[in-house]
Amino acid sequence: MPTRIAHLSDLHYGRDFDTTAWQAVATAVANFNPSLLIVSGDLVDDPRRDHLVTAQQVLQKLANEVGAELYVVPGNHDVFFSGVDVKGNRSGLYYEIFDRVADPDASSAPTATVSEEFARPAGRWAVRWDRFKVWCGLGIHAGPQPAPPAPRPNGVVPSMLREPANACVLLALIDSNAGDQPIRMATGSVSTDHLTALDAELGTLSARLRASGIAHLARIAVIHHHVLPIAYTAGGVIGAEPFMVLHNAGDVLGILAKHQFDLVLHGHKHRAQFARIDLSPDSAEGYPIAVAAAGSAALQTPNNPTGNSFNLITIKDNGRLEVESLHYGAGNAPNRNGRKGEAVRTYTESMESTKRRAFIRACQRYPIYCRRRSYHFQISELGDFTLHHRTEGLRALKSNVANRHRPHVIGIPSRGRLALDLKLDQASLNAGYAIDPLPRDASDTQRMVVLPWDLEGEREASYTVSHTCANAIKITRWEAEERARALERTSGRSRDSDWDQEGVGCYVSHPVEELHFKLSLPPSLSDVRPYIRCDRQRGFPNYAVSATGNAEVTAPPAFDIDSDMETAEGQSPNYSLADGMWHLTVHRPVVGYRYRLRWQTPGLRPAEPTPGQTLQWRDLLLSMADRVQPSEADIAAWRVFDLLADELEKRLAFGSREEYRSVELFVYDAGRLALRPVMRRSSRPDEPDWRAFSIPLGDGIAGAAFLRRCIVPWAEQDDSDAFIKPVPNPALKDDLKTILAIPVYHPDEEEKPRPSPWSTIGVLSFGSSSPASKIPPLLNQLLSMKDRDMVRILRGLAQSHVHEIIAILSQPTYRRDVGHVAAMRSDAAATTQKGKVR
Amino acid sequence: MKVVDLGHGGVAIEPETLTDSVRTLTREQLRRSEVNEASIDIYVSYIARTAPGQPVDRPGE
Repeated sequence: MPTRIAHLSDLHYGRDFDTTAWQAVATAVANFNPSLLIVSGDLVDDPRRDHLVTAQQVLQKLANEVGAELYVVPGNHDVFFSGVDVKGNRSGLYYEIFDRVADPDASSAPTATVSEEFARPAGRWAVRWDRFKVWCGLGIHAGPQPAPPAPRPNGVVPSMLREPANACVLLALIDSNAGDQPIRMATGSVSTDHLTALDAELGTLSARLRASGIAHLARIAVIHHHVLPIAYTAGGVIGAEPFMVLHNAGDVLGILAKHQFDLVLHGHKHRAQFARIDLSPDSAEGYPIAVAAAGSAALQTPNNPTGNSFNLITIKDNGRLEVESLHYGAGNAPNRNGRKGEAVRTYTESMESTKRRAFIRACQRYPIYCRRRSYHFQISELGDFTLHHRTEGLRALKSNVANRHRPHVIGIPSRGRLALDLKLDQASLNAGYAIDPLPRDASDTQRMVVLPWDLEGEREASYTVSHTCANAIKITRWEAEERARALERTSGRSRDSDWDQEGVGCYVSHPVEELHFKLSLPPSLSDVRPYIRCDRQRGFPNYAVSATGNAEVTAPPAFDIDSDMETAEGQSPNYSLADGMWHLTVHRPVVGYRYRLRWQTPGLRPAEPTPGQTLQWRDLLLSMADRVQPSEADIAAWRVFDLLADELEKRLAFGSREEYRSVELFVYDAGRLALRPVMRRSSRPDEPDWRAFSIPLGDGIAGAAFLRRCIVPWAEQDDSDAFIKPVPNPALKDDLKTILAIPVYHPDEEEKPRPSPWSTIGVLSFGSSSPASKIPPLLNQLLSMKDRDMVRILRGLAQSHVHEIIAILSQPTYRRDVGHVAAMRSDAAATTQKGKVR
Repeated sequence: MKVVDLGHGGVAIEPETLTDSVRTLTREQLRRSEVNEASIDIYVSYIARTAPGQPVDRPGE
């Protein structure tokens, strides 16, 4: 949730206070629902006890009503009658009354009993009479006055820093009415003691924050007088400026810049202004400071062309500042009904500034830094995902980091599996890098790269690792929808809004100067257009720092999309014709963010009735597999399957007596999100119940053929980089060395170059334990004419026989005498199958 | 038919031209390839039922 701050200034409760305008301001503040209510001085026109107590109570009441914390600093009118120091007699009433606000631990409390509402002020002449009496040392306001707080003998200055409970910001409340320096007229200065103490306290702040694990979203200084000149001639009188300035504005600004304050709030000149200063514009390390001045919130301004104003400040969850300056009055009636004034001037910080501040802060918080991280994502046609991750220029920023082992997290989607574990490239191995062996019981996805030397500030580490996850990327919309439906069934909740999106990316866990993504997509995804997704882990930037110097991810991880950041990064990567890849470069990515390239899974549903019939036929086949007692139709269907199995064995088997062979028909079961065997014949008669086995969608050889809708031949390989392999069936004694998987489709789509997944019924699979089966030649890039014919015949037989089986099973009452061709021919065929066991 | 590299040791066989169509097989071709007569009948019956331009014999309808 964004942090909202209402910034008021220069209320001047007293002579020319506009109670009607104040009601409009109070309504606008309440509607804004701020976490903090900040008033930057001049709460009253004269430091009378009754006015100061009323101001304190009204502001506190407003803060309580909106659930905000109240913070105030004194202005010149809060300590000098008329706001002008002529005789050097500061009033201590403000400090007595507002100490409780300024310092929550202070015990003093207002002593006057007054109205909790601002009253219509006394007449102008009555106020002037009071001031005259005070000037003469007469009347109740002239004395006895409490003295302003004296400097403490030990030189200790009360802390000016505040850490509100409701907002993750640091406040510095700076009093610009110094007691130890001469103040002339309405000018201001900050006590040297205060500045010295502030500098010292901020100097030790970083260590304290690190120890307590706190990182602020922003640092905000509040002061009454302007740290920058206000580009406005007060009252149109040229020459009045010297009577208004902050004498040591340079000192103040220097300390705030040194300690990386993000925002300065002030008032004083009754003129709204927004400025940004960058004291190191030529340096990437320069820290930009925003300075927001508020005008007077409720002073009657019939002759002031700038009118009244106050600021509503939003610090977004990514740290981006937005200041809305609401203007009203100026001879017109204030807008009392709505939140906005008559004119709203909005300043929204550039994301470049937001990112720059986040990066500099991160470099202070995290003990490691990396010059460049390159991620090359390769997606295969089967949804396998390989990541080559290059780390360049990794070094330590601090000495308290565990500096020899670097963790690498392998992200594996729940549906996928790790196919090739993390490994270093040859150059990294040659340079002395290594990967710690996995503990025997390791089940997590974290690996450790061991550096050849301890990580140091001057010695950089650079290496490349890669790993592959199989079945990790959804290739088609059909698959995305199947998985979303399955998740709905198992979790009982509706699918996520991005169920049809897919993507790759990384989490930024420490400062990185440059992040580079390369994305290779397979031909079937050639039409997709990736987009950038930036999401931020909740709690930014207050993440725990691990022993290895990384921002830890909470469990369960919770991320929010940051559309500002996506816009800043260009929203879309660039496609390079030279290498056929999508490229994205992010300068200084923000720690705690995930940067991803996403895309919509392609594919359209085919016209009816194909999908409906396909579902119906799958159900027919699956029902047969589930029947304990085979029906007449089942028996006839098995005869057809035997014929088909004969043809496959005849063409594909090696033929030796020792060879183990199996023919299976797998059908897609949407309920299980898997391929299930519905018919099977093998050369081993003592196999247990093969029906219990299933192949997760997209896995194994049959799964690959099903998802890709093409024939997949497979032979076991020695190559360590080859990971396409059958899903092991622990119930079987024999390992298959070669497999051919042939998808079966709805007839309407069988002739299409790439039939729709909506029309794919299942997969016919032949497996052999012999490496010398007829399958390995089918892996050659150039098929012989004989092999081409064989594949075509097998496709035709698979298609026709499975549909014959479906035709038999779909008859309500199967009768042999009117049955299909298979039934008429089955007796002869069955004779040839003696000795073959299902 | 063409062989397509799927990466990581995998290949796929895809139809490439019209001659790769399963529907162009003839009874004679199948006989020459020593396909069982019963299977040939099933194939021919399937092609007849699902010939282009004719409604598919919808099982169960």
